[in-house]
Amino acid sequence: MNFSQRNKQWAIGSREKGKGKKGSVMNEIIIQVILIGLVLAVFLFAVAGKVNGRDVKQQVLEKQLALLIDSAEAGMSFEVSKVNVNGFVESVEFRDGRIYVGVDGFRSVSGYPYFSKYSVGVVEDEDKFVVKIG
Amino acid sequence: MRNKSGQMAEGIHMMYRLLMVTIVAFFVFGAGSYVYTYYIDVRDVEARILTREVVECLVDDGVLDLGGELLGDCEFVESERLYVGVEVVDLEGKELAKFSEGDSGALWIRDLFGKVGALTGSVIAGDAVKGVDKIIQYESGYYEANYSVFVLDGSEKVKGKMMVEALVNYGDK
Repeated sequence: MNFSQRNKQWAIGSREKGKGKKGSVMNEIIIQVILIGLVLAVFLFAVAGKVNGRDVKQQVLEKQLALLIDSAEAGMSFEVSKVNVNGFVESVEFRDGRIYVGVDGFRSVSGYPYFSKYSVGVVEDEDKFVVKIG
Repeated sequence: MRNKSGQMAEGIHMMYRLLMVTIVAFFVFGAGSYVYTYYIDVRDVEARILTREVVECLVDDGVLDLGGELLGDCEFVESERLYVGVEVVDLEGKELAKFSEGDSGALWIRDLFGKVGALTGSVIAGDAVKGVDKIIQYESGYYEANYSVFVLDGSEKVKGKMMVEALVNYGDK
């Protein structure tokens, strides 16, 4: 092997090495972009929920229903339309003296308390929820 | 060996970047939450409803029987966020009975917020109390009402007055 052949081989080897390095750097960048993108996506969804006022709409529904239950007499029932002016009502639940209403894919975490001397139940219909007192 | 330590350093650097992004995102979200949070206060309405429910529970056909269970019959008052106080007097103002249910400490909170509320309304306090508005959301809902009733005390039935005060505390967890 003469000098020029050795030089040629060295040039090819270093080029391939460089390619490998570039590849690993690209992989790292892609992983970082994906992870940062995930964090930002979660953040954007959370901020969008706040800005759209879904939590306020949920609060309105929960408090309206709680007040209706507070003042209701035994035998009364009232309907909550799923396609509501406050958004699409996905769920109405009663747990431990609290009412939880899910609106537009936004589940209620804390709910709102009600007081009633009667038992309260809910039945899901096709296009509405029926809350029954007593 | 050098390659391994290099990879480790890169990993740590990546974790650091992710941590910084997460912290910034949480900070922006926290600021957004603070700005966009809106609290709808229905506690005064709840206090009114509670007063009506208590009167319906205690008084049967316009007669308040002091020999009965009184508020012990009204199970719904047993919530930790409610307080109900009842004072019964005859037409001359002589106290016939006084009873309550719930956390009486709520009355102290009501008095405290009464003072804070008066302060926010004062022109002299001005900007110094702007931040107090956020605290006001914890002010209790309050309602008091007087009702004319017949009071049955043993076998004696007299005309009297029933004063009911209801307090509803902050309901969110």
